Amino acid sequence: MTVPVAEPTAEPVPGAPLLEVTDLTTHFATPGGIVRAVDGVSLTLERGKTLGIVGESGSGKTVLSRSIMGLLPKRGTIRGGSVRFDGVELMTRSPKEMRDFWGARMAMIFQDPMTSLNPVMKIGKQITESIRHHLDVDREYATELAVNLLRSVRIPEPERRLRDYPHQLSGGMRQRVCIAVALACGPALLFADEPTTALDVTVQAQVLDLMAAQQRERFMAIVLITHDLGVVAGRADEIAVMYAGRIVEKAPTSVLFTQTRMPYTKALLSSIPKLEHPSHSRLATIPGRPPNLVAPPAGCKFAPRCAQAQPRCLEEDPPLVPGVVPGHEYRCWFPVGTPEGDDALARNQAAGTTAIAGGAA
Amino acid sequence: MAALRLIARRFLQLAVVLLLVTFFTFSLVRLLPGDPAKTIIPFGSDQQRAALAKDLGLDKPFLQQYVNYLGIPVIKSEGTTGLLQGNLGRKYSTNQPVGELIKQSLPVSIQLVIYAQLVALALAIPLGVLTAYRAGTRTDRAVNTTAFGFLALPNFVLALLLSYVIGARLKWLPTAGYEPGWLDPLFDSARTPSVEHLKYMVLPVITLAVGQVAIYMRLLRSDMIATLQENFITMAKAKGVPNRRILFRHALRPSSLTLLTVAGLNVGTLIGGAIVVEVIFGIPGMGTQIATAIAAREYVELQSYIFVLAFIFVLINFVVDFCYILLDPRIRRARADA
Amino acid sequence: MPEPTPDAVPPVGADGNRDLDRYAEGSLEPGLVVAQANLYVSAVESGGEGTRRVGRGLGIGAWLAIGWLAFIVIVAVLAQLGVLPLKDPNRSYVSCARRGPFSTDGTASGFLLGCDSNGRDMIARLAYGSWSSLIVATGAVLFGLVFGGTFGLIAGYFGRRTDAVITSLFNVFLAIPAVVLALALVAFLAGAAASTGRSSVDPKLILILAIGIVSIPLLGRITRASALSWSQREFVLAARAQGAKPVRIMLREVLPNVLPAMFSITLLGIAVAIVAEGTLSILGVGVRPPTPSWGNIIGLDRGRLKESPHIIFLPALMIFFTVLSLNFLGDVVRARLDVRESAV
Repeated sequence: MTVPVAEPTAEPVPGAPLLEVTDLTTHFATPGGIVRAVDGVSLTLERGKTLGIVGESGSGKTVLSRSIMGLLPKRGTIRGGSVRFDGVELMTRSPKEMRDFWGARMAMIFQDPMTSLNPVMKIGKQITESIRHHLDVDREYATELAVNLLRSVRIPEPERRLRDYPHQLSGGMRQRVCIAVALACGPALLFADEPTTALDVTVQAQVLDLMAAQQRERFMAIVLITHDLGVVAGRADEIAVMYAGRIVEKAPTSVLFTQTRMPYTKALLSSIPKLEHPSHSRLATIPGRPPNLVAPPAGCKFAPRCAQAQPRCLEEDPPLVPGVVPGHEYRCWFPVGTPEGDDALARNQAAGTTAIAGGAA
Repeated sequence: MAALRLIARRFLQLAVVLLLVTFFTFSLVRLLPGDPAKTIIPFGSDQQRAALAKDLGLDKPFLQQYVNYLGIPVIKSEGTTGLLQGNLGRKYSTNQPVGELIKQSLPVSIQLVIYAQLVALALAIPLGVLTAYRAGTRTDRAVNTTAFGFLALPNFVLALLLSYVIGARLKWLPTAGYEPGWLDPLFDSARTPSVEHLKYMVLPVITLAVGQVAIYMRLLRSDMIATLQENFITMAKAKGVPNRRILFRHALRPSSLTLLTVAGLNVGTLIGGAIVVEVIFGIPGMGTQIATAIAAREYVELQSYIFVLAFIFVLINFVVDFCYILLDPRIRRARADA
Repeated sequence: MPEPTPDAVPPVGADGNRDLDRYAEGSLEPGLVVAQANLYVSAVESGGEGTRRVGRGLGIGAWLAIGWLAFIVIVAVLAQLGVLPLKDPNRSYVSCARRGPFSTDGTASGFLLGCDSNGRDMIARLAYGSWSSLIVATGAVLFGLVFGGTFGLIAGYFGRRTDAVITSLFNVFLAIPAVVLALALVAFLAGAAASTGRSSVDPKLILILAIGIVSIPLLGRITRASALSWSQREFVLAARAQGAKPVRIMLREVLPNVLPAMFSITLLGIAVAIVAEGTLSILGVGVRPPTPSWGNIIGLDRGRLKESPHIIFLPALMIFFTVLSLNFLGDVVRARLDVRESAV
């Protein structure tokens, strides 16, 4: 069915990528100091493609998505850099102008569908609210749109569901409703912030499939944020791995898995349990904890936990350098799969310790 | 149905409380050291005291007296009527039935309290929403400091202040007196409502309301600040919903639960609790009646007043619980799941 | 941090459903908890949310508050000891009767704040009145803390049946509006004292008992909530596992943790009690004249509001500043203790 599209407030630049983030920084002023949640992130996304952003909690991935959308509260937040959507610079837009973007041109779904829906408002209302705000349609048409949306996200008996409250639906259905709400006005970009973390494994696949189907139908770009590499493995065209507020490796999906360069990415990959492993094998974990974002250590931020860290890693912060395949970038002095990296690992293993005196392991 | 069981249980709990209240007030006079009759009429003659003692059945054993007072059928003494038969006693000096006095004074207090709550809510809700939305800013601090100041202002001070400035100096409004309003004829058909009613109520209502506004505003502010941090608010924002709509249509409803409960329960507390305000402004409500009864040592009358107040309070509590249990869709569902 | 949770609304569980069984049990009843004083307390203490806390040191506000309170207390004590160069508060000076501080007839010399309708010096009466008001308020709150606190501790620690019984008893008193209850108690206690011939009982004592008794359920509920949450901590279980007797556990383990929260409640309670004393005095049952108290100075000359407003508003100002200071300090104290505990 054709979905009406909202009028843009600023003229899109033809030929520009859908989303272009350049050196985005987001710092929070807190009583304990300035927290550098996002510390210089750049990425691009084209229509119809999926970008996966992977990281532990505290890596800054959630802050990143909200910062790009501009949803963070103004007080205590310091943003820098540039975010261009369809060529239009978002950082300089007023909240009123941003409201025309939100819902209509870019949308977000959150981790916990129970708390993302208003518990005392009917489902139908939550969907039509967005429609009636952005599109100039009357109530009957909006309701009809809502029914169609619910049908397209595979919710049975959509007319009845309009009158239900969120708690009357199961977790999986609620997340579908959230998807329906997000897609109501036909946005070109969808942020999915841990969309399946709060769901049963069986339901996870359904929801992800649903999102993929909608993406094909609408030629929509998706930013899929998760801590679970398994989720993005089959779904994303490109994956960016975040650590301590920065992107430490970015590559097209297959390249990331086959030509992993950054040790952190490697460690994440190894920690995925595989069916082939014999039973009772110990799960590989990454020792240590993410760094303090107020006073991050000098040098590479991952060094304290890295198996192949060398003295240089503690002193100098590695920049993003391109890899062999175009579109592959990583941030490491002694990357995995290179002679220098293998040497570094061997040296550490022989010495029985990493570069950090006392070892973080 | 589980909800019914809950309601029944609540009803029982509250009934027990009410019963204990009657026991308490009843015992107060009977159990204090000294002759109860002397406590009730210390300046009367011995014959008067003897007559009173017989009348109140003070010669009988304590429990028998209590049973008679309650008027439990079958157990009570012949010929006596108790609380359960609707006997609220008589005012000793004028021999008027206390029920009559209550009919005259209760609607006055009820109107006063209802007006005060409405005014307080009308002010507190927008202020609460505003300060929650702008939490931490100068506006918030200014409003909060003012509210803090009003919290510290005892209601009798405010009453006297308003009485002086607006009543005595500026002479805009009367400082004492009363004219019947819309509720009075329902209790006592002899009264006819008059427009002047509002003029006499303005100052007392403002006095009561101001004290409540500060409390309600802060209550709502707390709850709203918590609600505004919930995910569904960010979700609404991400849909492009304008701020005002988010505040009033999305955030206010879940946050206002505590506030409305408290406002409802306060109606019960304030009917008697507005004593000082009633006395200062000469409003002939329950409060004034109680104050006069105490000054005149009309303890039988006082007992009934306390009972009626407690009854109203318990009743309102029960209604509030009833609404909670029945209307909250989450509670109903939780029970259905279990 | 086991801050006493307002028992107003059943908490929303993780899946968004209310905890129905606890609700039914009555330990989370929305009703019968909302006494005006408790509302007042939570209103005073809710101001800090969403605002940033000043880090180190007490703010200027706190110092002003402490200063005022210290001033009042010192004046009250010294006046009572007769050390201050004040006129006799009970002596009437006809020349000064009803003259205010700004009276057009010129204030009779030496009476800086004017006199009341009996010609008694306002400064003296206010100073001596401070003693009465403060003694009554502090005494009442301490009385309430001792008894209410004990009951609350027992209810919170033992839980179950004991808790149900004690809470019901509290609810009985809470069902009667506080002012009415206080009035009734004063009347009955005074009547009882009179009928047993002990009419020379200091009315302050009666007031302390009456206001104290009214405050028992209010303070008891707060102590109970705090005791309840502390009693569920593991160190209490550990003590019990070592065979310690309940009384010992309550006194050695639970009470020391409950006490800090009670500091701020005490300050707020004294503020409420001062207002209560004022209210009762206006209704004619306060400290018996000629002994002055802030409340009865207002109460006695309430009818003279139009001619001599100063008689009303000077003590009113004293009450206002004292209550304001106590509220402010109460809030500051609670914020301090909160922060420290959450840092642990």
